[in-house]
Amino acid sequence: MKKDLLEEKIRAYRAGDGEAFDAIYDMTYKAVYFRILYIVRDKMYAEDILHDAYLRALQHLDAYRPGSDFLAWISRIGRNLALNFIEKKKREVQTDFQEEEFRFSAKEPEIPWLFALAQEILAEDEYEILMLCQVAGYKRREVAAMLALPVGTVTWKNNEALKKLRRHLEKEK
Amino acid sequence: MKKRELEKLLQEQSASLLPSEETKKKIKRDLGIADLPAAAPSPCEDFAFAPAAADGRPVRPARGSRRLPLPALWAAAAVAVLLVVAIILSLLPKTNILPEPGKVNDKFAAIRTTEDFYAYGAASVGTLLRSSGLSAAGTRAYTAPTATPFASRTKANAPRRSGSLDETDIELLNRYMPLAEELLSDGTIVHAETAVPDGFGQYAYGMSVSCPDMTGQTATYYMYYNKEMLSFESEEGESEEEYSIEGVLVIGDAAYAVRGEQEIEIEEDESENELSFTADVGSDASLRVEREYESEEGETEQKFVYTLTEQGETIESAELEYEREGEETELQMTVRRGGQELSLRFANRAENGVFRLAARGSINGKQVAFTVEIAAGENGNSHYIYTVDEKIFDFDRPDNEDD
Repeated sequence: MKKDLLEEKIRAYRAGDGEAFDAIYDMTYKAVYFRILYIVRDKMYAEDILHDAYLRALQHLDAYRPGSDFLAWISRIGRNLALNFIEKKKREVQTDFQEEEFRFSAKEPEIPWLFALAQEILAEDEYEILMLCQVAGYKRREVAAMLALPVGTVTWKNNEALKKLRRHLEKEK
Repeated sequence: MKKRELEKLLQEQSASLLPSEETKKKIKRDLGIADLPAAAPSPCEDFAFAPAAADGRPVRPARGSRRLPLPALWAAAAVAVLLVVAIILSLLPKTNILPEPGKVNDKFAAIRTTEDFYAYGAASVGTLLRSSGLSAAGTRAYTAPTATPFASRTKANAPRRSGSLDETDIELLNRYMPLAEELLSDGTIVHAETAVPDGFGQYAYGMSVSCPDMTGQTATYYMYYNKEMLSFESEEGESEEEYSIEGVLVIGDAAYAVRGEQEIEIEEDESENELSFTADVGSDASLRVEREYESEEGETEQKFVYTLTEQGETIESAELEYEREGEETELQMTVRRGGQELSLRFANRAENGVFRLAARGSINGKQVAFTVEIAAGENGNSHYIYTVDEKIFDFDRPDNEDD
C-alpha cells in the first residue's frame, strides 16, 4: 500500500471524485476487516461492521487530518464499532437467543477452523500481521508500512504466530 | 507440519475468510457514489421483509433480526442447557472460584503481563487520586486537573517533632489506606477490554479495571490509550525491545493523562523487564509507579514504588510489597514525605463483619502498633477509625460506589 497514493485518493474523494472510493477501499479493507474479525469472530457480522466503518469514515471525512494515517484512523473506527457491538451482545445475551443464534445453532461455523484457531490462540497484533502476510497476500514490508512498524517486528511477529499455530496443530495430532 | 505447509494451507483457505465483493458494492450504494441496481439479498439477508424508508430505499434491518428465526426446539434446548450449567455451577464449591474469606490474595503475583501491570498501575493510581481529595480538586469534566490533589492535603514542610505520632502522620497514612485495603482484600483486581467512547476517539484501546476493597465493594476505573513499539533490536540471541502506551485514566468526571513504558532486555539466559506507569496529576506534577522485580532460583520478589513529583522534585514516595509472616500474607508499606517516614506492616484482621487492619512498625523512628477499622458514618459515608494507644483518629474514607 502506497501511503502517498492513498492520500491522493482521499483528497480526490473529498473533492467529489466518487471513483476514488475503489482505490481507497482496495488499499485498506483487508487490514480493517481483520481487526474487526478478530474481535467479533463471525464473518457475517465482521462484514456488516466493515460496511458501517467505511460509511462512518467516509461520511465524516472532515474528521480525518490529511496526511496523518488514514488506515490507522479507519481501523480504529472499525475496532470501536466491533467492541461496541460485542458490548451490546454481552448485555443482550440473557434475553435474546435469536441474537446468539450463532452460538446455539447447529450450523457449521462460517470461519474455517484454522482461522478460528488463530483467533483463539494469537494476540491481536500477531493475528493481524499473520492474516495480512499470509491471507491477504501483502509483503512484509507492505505490512510494516501499513501498520507503521519496523519490518523486523512484522517478520518476528509473523514467525511467532506461525510457530504458535504449528505448536497447537502438533498437539492436536 | 512444516512452516511452508502451514503458510500454503492458510493461503488456500483465504478466499473463504475474506469479505465478499458484495460488501464493497453495498458500501458504494449506501454512500451514493455508484448508481448500481439494488443487489440481490445475500443468503442470510431478507430485504423482502425489511421496511422501506421514505425514499423507497431498503432500510438496513437491525443486526440479529436479519437472521432466520431460531426453531423453537433449538431455543428450548439452549434454555435447558443453560439451566443445567447454572445448577452445576451453583453446586460447585465456592473455594474453586473465590478465595476463602479473610485470606489475602497476593495481587502482585497475579501481575504477569504488561497489560496486567498497566491495569494495576491504573487501579492503584486511581485509588491514590481518589483518596487524595480528587473531587475537592475541582476538576472539570474530562480535563486534566490544574491543581495537585496531594498538595493541599498534607503539610510537607511542616516542622517534625521527633518520635511523635500526630494527626499529620495519620493524614499522610490515610491517603494510602484505601490502597493498603485493596491489596489486603480477598478479592482480585480484574481488567477487561472495553469500548472506547466517542469523546476519546483518538485512542485505539480501552480497558476497565475493577478493584475490590475489604468490604467487598469495587471501584472501577477506565483507561483509553494507544500503544506502540518504540524499538526492537535483535542480534545473535540478544534483544532489546521498548514499548509504550499513552492515553487517559478516567476517574469519575476527570481524565488524567497517563503513559506507560516497558523495556525488555534479553541476553543469553538473563532477562530484565522494566515497567513504569505515570499519570499527570497537576499542571506540573506527576505520580509514577515502577515495578522492581527480582528473580532468583525460582523465587521472585516484586516491589512497587510510587513517586510523586512536583516541578521535577520528588515530594513524596511510597514502597509496597507483600511479606510472608508464617502462614499469613502481610503488606509492608513505607511512605516518605518531607521529614516524615512511615514504615508499617499491615495484616487483615477482618472477622464477623468487622473490617479491621492491624498495623505495626515505626513512624518517624518511633515504634508503633495500632488498628484501623472501617466504620459507617451517620451520613452513609464510611470512615477509617485509627486507634493508637488510647487516642482515636477519625478520617474520611473514599467510598466505592460501583456496586
